[in-house]
Amino acid sequence: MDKKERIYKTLSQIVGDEKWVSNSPVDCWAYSYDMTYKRPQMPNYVVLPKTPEEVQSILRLANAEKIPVVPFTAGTNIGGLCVPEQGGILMDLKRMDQILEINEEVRFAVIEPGVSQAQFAQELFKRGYRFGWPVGPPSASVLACAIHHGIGGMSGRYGLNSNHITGMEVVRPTGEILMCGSPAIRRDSWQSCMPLPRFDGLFTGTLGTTGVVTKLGLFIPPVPDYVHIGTFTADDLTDMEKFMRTFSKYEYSDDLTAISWWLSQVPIPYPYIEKPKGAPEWSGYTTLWAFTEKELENKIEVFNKVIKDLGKQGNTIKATDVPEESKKGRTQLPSQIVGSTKNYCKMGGGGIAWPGTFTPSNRWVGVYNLWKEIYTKKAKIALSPSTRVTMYRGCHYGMLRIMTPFPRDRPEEEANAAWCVREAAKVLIDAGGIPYKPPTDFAREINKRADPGWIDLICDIKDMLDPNGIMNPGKWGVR
Amino acid sequence: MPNNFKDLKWYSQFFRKCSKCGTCKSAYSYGPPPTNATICPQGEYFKLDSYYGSRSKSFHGHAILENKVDLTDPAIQEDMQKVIFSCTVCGGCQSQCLLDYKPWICDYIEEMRHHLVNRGIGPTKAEKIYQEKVIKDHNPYGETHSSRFNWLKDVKDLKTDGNMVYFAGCTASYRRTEIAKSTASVLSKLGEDWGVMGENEYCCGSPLLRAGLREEPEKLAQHNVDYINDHGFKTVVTACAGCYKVLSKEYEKWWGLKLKAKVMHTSEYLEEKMKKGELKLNNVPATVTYHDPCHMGRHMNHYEVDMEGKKQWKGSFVQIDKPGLYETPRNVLKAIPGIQFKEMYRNRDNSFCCGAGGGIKSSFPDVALETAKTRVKEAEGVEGVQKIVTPCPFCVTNLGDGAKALGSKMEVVDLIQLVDQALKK
Repeated sequence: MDKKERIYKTLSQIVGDEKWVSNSPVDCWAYSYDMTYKRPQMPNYVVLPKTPEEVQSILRLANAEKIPVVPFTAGTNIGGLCVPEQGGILMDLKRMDQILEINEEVRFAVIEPGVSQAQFAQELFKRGYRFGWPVGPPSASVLACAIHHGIGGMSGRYGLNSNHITGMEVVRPTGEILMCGSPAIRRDSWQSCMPLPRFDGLFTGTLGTTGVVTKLGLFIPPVPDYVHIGTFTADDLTDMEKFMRTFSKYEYSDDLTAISWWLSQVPIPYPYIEKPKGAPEWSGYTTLWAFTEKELENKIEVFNKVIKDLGKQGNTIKATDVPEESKKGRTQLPSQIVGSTKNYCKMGGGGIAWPGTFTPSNRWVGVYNLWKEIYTKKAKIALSPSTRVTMYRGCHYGMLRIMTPFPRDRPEEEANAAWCVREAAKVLIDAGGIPYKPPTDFAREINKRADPGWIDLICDIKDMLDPNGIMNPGKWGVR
Repeated sequence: MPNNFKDLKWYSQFFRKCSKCGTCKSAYSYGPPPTNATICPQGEYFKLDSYYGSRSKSFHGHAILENKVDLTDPAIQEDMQKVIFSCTVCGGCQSQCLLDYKPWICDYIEEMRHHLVNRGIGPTKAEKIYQEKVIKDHNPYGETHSSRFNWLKDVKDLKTDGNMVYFAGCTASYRRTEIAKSTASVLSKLGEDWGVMGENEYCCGSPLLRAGLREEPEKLAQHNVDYINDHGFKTVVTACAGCYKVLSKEYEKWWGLKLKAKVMHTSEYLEEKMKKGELKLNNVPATVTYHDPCHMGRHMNHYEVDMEGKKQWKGSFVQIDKPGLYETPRNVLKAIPGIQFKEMYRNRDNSFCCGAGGGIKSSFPDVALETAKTRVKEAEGVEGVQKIVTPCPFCVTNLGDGAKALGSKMEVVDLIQLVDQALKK
């Protein structure tokens, strides 16, 4: 029996049925690319485990055979993170799709990797709880979003979705299983990662290169009874950032976001079109949730006061009124309508990429101006500078990203978009921003500029956890 | 005769616009409350991403057109046949998609089948057998053409002329004759001047079209259209969702064959009668739910597409400007006194397929049966429901098989049977 056949047979034995394994190029092709411009690269096998024990056996096999393993949930990230760099076994985790617990007293949930946003939203809503839903499609994995520092509609109040992690079960690349956080001490206690050492950090933001997270505990806050969506515009990002920085100090916003004119169009105009004269370049919204009317009134009062005070200082920030339908898109998440499923991709022709970054707010203006020059002046085909900024909790930094749609069937235009995205990432990193969920080309740019000691530590940790280098090799650009 | 079929390359302008977002994998709506349910029978059965929704099909079209997989290799041919021909083409994924790919999804999947058939990678063995039967005896069941109207022996005063012709279709003629008899009974009770085509009724062509054939169904279409037009019928009525789709939409769409008669599903006919006050129904005490046949619901949605870029941009999907038949059969059902109607969780555009369509019942019976069982279980979960009512003989058959396999007490009946019962008293 040749190696290919032997691995196929062993995988089938592990998951109990040939139905859950394939080495057919027809099946593997469907895992070879994603929304982005990343070139297709096929795995050699696809396997769908159902239990952590099956995950353990697959990883042990991969070590014995020295073949790569790529964890996959829904493949909806915008970074080619599940596209295998070196072939191997693609571990599709969608059969592990159970919400194992929703603990309303202690306010946490325990989920498996295949739980989708849609599935989780349905169950939480029934019980009056919520999560930081990103604008990704309903099919996206909640677990994958959280362990990759995804953000969502509560990031202004609670921080990143990874800040919600209360514990995890992980299968190490060598097959051992471990718990992080409170369940490491008592298996049914999923309340917090602290006060233990944050070993969950070894498996967070590491792009599937350090293990497979098979269970995740997440903090789930209740849905408050009152909500107000404040909307506003400013003529430029300087004024908008000043408002966001000023208002964010109160920590009243669950979401404090602004978007450039091009992103406020549904869908994003492709290719670039001029903004109409007189239209403000930036518009924004904030979601203010409250448990009492009085609390909400106070928040709205402060929101209006900040706008009024800045206006007196000559800032162009203005409160606006937008249709209710438009406001719904800010709170009614996850959604099929907003985000990558529709308004990002539709006009461009199916493809989408971006440098999504965490950047201090005092650098937003400088980076945005450079991005505009790249997208509207330097690009062969001018593209919309459809940019979003979102303030995160706790300090003056946040998301800065430029959504870049492109047609999938026109290689020259795809290459044009890819060039813009890469150039945008470079100027951003130079300015002190850091791309999140970075594709390999961004990871290389990050590593070029990284502190050598930091790179050494990543390499040492990777070597310790994954001595045969089987876990999603190549994704961090260091191993 | 014109041939309006487009080739795979033409469809690539749309399937390459699939963003791979995976929204097609489940039926989700924010609500509130948010609702989420499985929608793709093929994906739910096989679980691999290569089987899930319209996303997977865009990968396959790309692979086929640009030789991303070696389709000269017999093993790969077999795998490609399996992923393309095990789809029910129910359109559940199409209902979820929001991109310019949306309007074309079902036609594109059938074109992929056609493309593979031309390359010798299809049809499936089972399809080949029934296709030969359709070509020879004008039905997919292997019955002789001459026995097509055996069910008519019991029908009194039968005619082959009149204002209206009842197009029974193969399933009602050979396998679900109770549905054909009920239809005949209803038409007579309502005093309709109706007839049948008799031995001149051929298969509508749906089983062949769904499997990617083009020339053979065209012959059937031409025959049926010529006969109906030549005999001056004003209305064609059918109780079959599959026949309804083909007769009312596809003959003209694909071949420019125009029926002079108005094509109506029996539920449309009954609703019209109801509106005129000509449908007097008696009490039928039952708690029922309704199953939307894909061919009557989603497949009959009409999509506005801006091909020239006058409103939006070239090739953009604008809206569904005419929905399929969702409310009409429900209105008829609800009009029956004594009926307590309860919706299943998945309904209308988000209805879960019965599992029989797209040639699956013969080619992949396990997929068909598992899908039917899932749907029957859903009905069982609706408190008090005793019957699943659906206006399609093929759905009745497969859901009935699902109920039987489950050992369920759930009864599956055609809408026309219930109306017939209501008219009896």
